[in-house]
Amino acid sequence: MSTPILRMQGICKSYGPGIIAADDVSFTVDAGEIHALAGENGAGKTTLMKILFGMERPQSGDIYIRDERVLITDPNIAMAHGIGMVHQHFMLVDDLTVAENVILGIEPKKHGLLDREAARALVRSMAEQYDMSVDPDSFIRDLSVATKQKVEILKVLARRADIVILDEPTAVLTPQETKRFFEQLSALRKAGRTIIIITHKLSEIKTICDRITIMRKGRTVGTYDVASISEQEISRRMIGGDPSPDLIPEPVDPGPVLLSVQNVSCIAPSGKFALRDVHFDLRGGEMLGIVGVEGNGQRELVDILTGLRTAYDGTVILAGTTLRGMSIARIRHQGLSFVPEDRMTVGVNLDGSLLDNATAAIRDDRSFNVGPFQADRKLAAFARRLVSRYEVQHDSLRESIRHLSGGNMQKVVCGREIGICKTVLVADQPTRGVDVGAVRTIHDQIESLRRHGKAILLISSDLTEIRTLCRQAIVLHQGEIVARIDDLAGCSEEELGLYMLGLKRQDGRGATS
Amino acid sequence: MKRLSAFLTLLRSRVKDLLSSPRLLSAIIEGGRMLIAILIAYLVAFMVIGIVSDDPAMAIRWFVLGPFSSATEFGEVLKNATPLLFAGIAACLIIRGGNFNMFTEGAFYAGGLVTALVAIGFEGPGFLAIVVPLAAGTLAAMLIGYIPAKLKAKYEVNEFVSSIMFNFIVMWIGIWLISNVVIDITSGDNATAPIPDASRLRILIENTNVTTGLLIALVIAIIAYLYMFKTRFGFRLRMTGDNRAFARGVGIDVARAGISSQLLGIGVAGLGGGVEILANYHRFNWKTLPGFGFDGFMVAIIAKNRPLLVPLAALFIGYLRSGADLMAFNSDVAQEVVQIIQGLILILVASEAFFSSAWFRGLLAKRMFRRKRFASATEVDRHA
Amino acid sequence: MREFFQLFATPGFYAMILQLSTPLVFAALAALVSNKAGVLNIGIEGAMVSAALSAALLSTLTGSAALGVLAGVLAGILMGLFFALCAVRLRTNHILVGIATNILASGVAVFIIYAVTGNKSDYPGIAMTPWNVPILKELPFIGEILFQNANPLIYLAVIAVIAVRFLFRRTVLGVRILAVGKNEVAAASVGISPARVKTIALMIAGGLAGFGGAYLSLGYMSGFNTGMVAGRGFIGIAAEAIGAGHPVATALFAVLFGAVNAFSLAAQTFPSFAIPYELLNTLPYLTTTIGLVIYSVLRYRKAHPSPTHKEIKP
Repeated sequence: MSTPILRMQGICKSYGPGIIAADDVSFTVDAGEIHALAGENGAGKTTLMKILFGMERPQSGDIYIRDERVLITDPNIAMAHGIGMVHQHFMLVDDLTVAENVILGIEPKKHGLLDREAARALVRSMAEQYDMSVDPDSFIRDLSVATKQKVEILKVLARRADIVILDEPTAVLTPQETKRFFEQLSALRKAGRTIIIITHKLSEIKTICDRITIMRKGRTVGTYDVASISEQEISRRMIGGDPSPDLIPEPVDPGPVLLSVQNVSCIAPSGKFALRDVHFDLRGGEMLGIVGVEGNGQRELVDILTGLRTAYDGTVILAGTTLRGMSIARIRHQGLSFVPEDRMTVGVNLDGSLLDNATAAIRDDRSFNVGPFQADRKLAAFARRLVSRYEVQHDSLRESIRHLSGGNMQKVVCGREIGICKTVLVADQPTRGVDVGAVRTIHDQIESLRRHGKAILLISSDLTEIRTLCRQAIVLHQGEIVARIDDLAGCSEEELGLYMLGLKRQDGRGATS
Repeated sequence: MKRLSAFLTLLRSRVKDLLSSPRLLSAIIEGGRMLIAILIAYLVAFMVIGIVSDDPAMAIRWFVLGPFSSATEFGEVLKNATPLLFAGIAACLIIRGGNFNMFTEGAFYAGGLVTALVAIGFEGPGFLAIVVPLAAGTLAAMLIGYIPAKLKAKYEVNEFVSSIMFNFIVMWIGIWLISNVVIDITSGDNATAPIPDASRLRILIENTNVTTGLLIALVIAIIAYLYMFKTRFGFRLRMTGDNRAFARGVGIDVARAGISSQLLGIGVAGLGGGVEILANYHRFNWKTLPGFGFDGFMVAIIAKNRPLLVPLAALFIGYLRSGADLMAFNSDVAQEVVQIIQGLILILVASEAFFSSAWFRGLLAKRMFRRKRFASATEVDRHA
Repeated sequence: MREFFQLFATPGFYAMILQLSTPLVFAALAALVSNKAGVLNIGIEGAMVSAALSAALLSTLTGSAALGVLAGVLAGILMGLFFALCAVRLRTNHILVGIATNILASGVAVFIIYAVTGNKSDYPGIAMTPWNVPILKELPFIGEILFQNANPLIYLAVIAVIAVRFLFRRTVLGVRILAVGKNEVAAASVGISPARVKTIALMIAGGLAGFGGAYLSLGYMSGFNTGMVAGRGFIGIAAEAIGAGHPVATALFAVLFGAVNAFSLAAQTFPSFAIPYELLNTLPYLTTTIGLVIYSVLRYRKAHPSPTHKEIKP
């Protein structure tokens, strides 16, 4: 059994002075096991696996596969050694079909030309063998997240990978889909494949994994048999001490209705409803969670509330005024602010400085302008207050925000948006891909905003986050509200999962559809 | 001796501190890259001259040193730099706003033509004879330029292609005007009537062709700098240019910011066309596009899209042009060798991979690890 | 007005459309191949200039028009390679590389002509011998348009459309170009080198533009002059944009612009149709702009559906 199939030794990787992703990391995996690579966000797990897969070059360190030293300089070599990787952000070409995606790079040929029939046959036979049904001719852009993941795994299997790396595979799945996914993984293990799962979800490690390697701040903490280590112990080693006490939302008396969404519908470019008769009220001092599998109307809802989308039916009333016809600037002037889902393209301007990004929302404010000119000192003072309050690690206000870590970037975004919030905060995945320290800072600030009587709409694919911060939630499925939950503590994850998949609805229609 | 070594240590640590300031470091890297790019471009040009010329040494001497041979020749550098300054500022405004609107080219043409026509028709008193025609030329250019800018903002019509089409349209309409409608037959050319003396820009430096146009250009550069970096409008323009989605999200009207950046740029180009005509031409007789629009983009890129660096970049290109003119006049090499230099510099300077700061950072990271490993190795030795 | 109708009854007019469309079709296909690889290739204009000059130069040097065309295509491929080196290896902004290649191409062209001949505007070339297809040329009307005095490159343009279509539908390279163009990171993750695929695509595009350039100096005219490309590369880019990435549609729009060009030239000879030729010369650019605007408006409408539309049941 325990023959190491993979050994990584002394791996060092830095992205520049001061940014160390892996510091003398060692990592060993046995053949035929499911091995968890665990750690908080930013611990260096993904970097280590990207090095193994040849997508990053380490400054030093060695990799051995079946006790043979190998030099992996690009994914081709990794694949030739039987390593395959499913990335957290799917590496699929939306405008190609399933079959084309699976065979990309290893195309079957006939008379020197592309053999599409062979590609289809390959997908069909593998889908049958591993019990993952998928239509080889459908386009990726039309698939659900869970199906896209299947395609990713088929891609890896088609390359005959013995070592399969999965980066946060369950982050986008419902509890039910996760269960099904784990069954497929067990089948793969039985078929003799070695699987490495990057994750930070303790329950999953316990359910499916044989051994675990824990990383913290770019170093390995140790490797353990999952059976011999408790969840608490794993958590302690990931964090490097006892976890800080849980955040417990303090109830406050609900204020006036600040946001009222009435019968809102809109159409996707495909012609289908993206939102259908969505209806809810949000009061000051309340935090409402929006639960749902990605792509079930969350984006459209956020876009409508923030003014990014003006084509919709129905009415939205923000602090007593209808939203229709208001520009984005006007909506923000009414005190609605917005933490966008896509940090790197919408949240921050990567080409701008830290100062530009921190002050972008207050530039038009009268107190920051003198005649036609901007009050540069006041702007700098504002930015300085923000970075100290949120403990943003930085060299100077004028440095490019590009040089900050993801967590620090997100703190700047949240600081900017929470700082100007006067009525409603729309927080879309506010802590995705952010390190633990930053998560806590951001949660504390959002929670304090709520305590001060503002209304908060929290959209998150992380159920734990919603359950920590919110008491109430609504579940979106295919653009419709299928459940309204007034007390999340009284609703199990499994039940939420059923709502998210549309298998159950509060109006009882789920059973028939 | 001891003092000297103490002083040297102090000096070294000071230099080290200075070098570790990230902004200074990147400024040094940028400057170095620029120099290397220019050197490479010159080397290629010299090689080309060496191949085609019978007397390459003389050609190169005229090319490099010619502009400094007399005040008059250096005046040519300043004269050549003036339209490039306008064009460079115009391109800065447009590129920073995130667009590649090439209508600056047509704007030079339209601005020049309308300025000339108004100067001929309007005989106002004193400085109005200059200001009114220039204002008219600027406005005319902006009026035409509004169309591709608006189309881009509203319907995402590719502004690069549409503005190039507009350039050709404006040019042919202009040629039609000066060969049929406003032609002055006594000129013996397809050209307008002569521009009245009252409207012509005054010579600034004696014995040269440098006019007050240079001063106008410098003032425009300063205004553009203040606008782009010291006002909220400039902030909107820069954010929109860097990242539209971000700008929109923080409440900036990106359509308006995009249009105004293009319009301002086109206005500056139109003004540049007018100044060029009032400074250097007796009649408007352009039968091709002047080429300043494209040159402006190059000047802007060399200046890293910073209005205050544009005068330097324009001066450099002006110097290249003057040298090439002298070389063409005094040797057997065509002045188009300049275009080889310009093209190469443009590519190398705008390249993200050519001695980039990212490449430099990678180098530093490697060194850091090497030092660290060395340190930990000695530590182990000590323990043993 | 009579001339107007007479024009449409003359086979010579249609033959002229084909002649003027050919370089545009090549340019548009070059834009298409580049675009599929995710590169907005502004340098097509410059590639056509250098191809036109190389073709003229080599044809007079060797006395063979065929070798001239070959030289033109090679020059186009080299320009494509140069573009790729700058855009892919040096990672320079594509539009700036395009501007630079265009500056370089026109500069180098004048420079070379001057070094060889002492004048700065034109250089003679040996035109290709037109084909007369036996039997078919006897066909009434059609024969005169398609099979009499037809330049071989006109036929090649048609073949090129089919070849490009075939490239993306049936070949491994085609699928890889599409993958790189749509999602570079995904392609790289399965071991495809985006840099290599882009370089190949840009060289193919350069070769296509090379045919267009060679046609201008050895087919449409016999010899090179500095203004001869006259924005055709850019019109090709516009045709590609309107054709929305479909080779056949792209070629058809290129032919449409060629037809407008032919009309503007033909209309200059109308005695009673008194539009000055300068204004007629604006027509190709005007129609290109209008076409681009119509396409963009339609695309915009499609991407922003009205919310009051009822759901379309699949």
